[in-house]
Amino acid sequence: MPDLKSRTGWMAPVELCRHILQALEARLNVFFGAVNPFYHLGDLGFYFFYIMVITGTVLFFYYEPTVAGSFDQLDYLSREQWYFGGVLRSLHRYAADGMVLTVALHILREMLLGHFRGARWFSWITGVPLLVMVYLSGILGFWLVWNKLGQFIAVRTAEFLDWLPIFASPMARNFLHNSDVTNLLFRLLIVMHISIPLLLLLFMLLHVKRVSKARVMPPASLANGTLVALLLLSLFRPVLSGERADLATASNNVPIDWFYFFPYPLIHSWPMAVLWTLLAGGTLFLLLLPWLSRPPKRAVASVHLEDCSGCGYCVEDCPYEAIVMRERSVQHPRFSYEANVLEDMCVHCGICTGSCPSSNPFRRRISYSAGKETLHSGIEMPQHNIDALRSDILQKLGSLTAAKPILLFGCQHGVALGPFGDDDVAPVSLPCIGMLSPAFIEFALRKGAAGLLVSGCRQGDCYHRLGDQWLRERLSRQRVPLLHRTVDSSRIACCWQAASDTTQMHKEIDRLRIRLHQIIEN
Amino acid sequence: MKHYVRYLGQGFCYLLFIAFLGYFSGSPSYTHVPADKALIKFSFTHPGKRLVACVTQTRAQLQKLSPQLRYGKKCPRERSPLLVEFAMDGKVIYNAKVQPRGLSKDLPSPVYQRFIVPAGEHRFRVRMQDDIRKPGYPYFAKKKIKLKKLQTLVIDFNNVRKQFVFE
Repeated sequence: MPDLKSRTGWMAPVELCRHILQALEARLNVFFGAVNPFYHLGDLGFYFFYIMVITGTVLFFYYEPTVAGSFDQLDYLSREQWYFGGVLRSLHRYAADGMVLTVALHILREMLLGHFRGARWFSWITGVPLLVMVYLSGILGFWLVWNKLGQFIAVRTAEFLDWLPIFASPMARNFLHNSDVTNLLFRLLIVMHISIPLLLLLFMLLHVKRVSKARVMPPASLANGTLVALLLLSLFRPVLSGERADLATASNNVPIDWFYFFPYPLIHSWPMAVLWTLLAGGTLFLLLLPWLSRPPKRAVASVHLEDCSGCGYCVEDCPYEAIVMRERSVQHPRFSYEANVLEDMCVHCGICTGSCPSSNPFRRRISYSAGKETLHSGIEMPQHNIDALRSDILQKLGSLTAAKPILLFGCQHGVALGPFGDDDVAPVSLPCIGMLSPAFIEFALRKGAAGLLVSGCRQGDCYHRLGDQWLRERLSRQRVPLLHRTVDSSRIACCWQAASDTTQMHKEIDRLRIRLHQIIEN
Repeated sequence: MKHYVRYLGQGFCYLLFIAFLGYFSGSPSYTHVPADKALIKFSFTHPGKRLVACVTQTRAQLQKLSPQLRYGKKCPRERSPLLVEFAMDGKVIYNAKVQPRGLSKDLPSPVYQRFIVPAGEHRFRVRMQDDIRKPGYPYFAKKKIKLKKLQTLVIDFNNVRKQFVFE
């Protein structure tokens, strides 16, 4: 359990919710591993949108935007052509429900993990209109069927909007008699039902604009599993139209879609002013959230021109597109470009340092300003430079008295490292494990470490999106800078766990101890 | 963990997902109007009388205005609110002063009220005054109607015939 006593005020329930979420994710990890659906909620939202676009395009050719035709055509599809049109209709509806569910979980998860702060404000802010558009296009979609549910939604939506004193005549008066509803309304609705998703797509692209290597498609196994599940649901519980809308008769038992219309029963039970205040207040809260809890201002990554070769690896690896290559400001006989950091987009993760080939503790450079021997990387965090990291490693190794010392490299967002310090284990904490260049691993082993344990966020759930992935690929010699061939990989263990998974970390340390013992004995 | 156990676990999770999705996409159903009740929608829009009568402007007053504003009559736009009363079986269930819409209060006053009542025979009485300066209710109607279960009765006001309509 998290230490809730140390948290005060509103942070305690947030901490508890985060712990519950991580515990749930840990359960799902047992079966799903890196394709845990909770790590792919955003891309699943995209995926459900694709399903809706494809099924909606086909359904559009069958749909007749008239009062009578709208119900008749869809009812015919569901009853007479259940094997194709009916399945398509059900897929369209269930994908819409799936999108609302994943989007809601995505918002909740990002909120609990604090993924709205700092440079992430842009993705957060652009997500708010997305939510509104998802709901708007959904409401119109249900309306288009013009069954009893559509009637209920049309009337309630109009009554809800009528509270605003902007209409000369109440909108709900358009649904007093059957003769009030015209074919023109359905033509207007179908145009809106197509145009709002187009706008939605535009905002979805804007939403991921500042995210490097954004995932807009879930992994194949998750995508296939989800599609098969939706198909099974469509076959075994097809969506049917029910009764035709009739404004002369009141809706009795309405089969509400609770994913979209959970607030609708409140429209006549709660005062409208309360509902509108909740809606406006909630939207405002979401919009202002990035500025309600601002992180302390920290220095962004800085470039040391003398050490930057303009290779572009940092641009490739930065998860936030915060680095660009520009022509060199000072002429160099060999290098034409230099890295430039976009201050507004840097989140101080240090992944750029890990990707820089000059992040090498074996190098030495005389600092011109201080006049003393100082190690620099081409790009690094001023508050976490590689000189300090090198000194930290040497100091920690010097403090270990055991015969087989182990260095534990960890991430500030993963398992807290402090409690793991022991006679033979010394922790080295980094802003993100992606900051660890393989050269430092080689350095630590050469300077006396018997083994190393590298710990980071769970696979697919890196706080800084890609840090764990980049390091894994570097350690397996698939990504530059590579782990040197001469390094004995058997002395290196990895542990990718959430902050709450301390048990697993203890097990990994014990396993490494045993392995090191066997290696040295042999 | 063995592969088949992982696949079985994944299958179980997908099953839970679609069960959740399938159930809440249409259940539990919401009882909007109970089966033994009927719905009455009392709704109309009607413009109240203008609160201030038009005033004929003198030549001297007109001379002070720009040429494009020199109208013979000056008509303030504000309209009177409506006084509306709706009674069922001798009991007043809605009584309100309905303000006109618009920033200058020059648009019709809208009324939209809904009542869920037991099905069966009821006596309705509606009345309305569109000039707050005058006493009484010049527009008046009463009717006895037998409402069927789940029937929607609309009580509207016909602005051409100046009378209430029960549909």
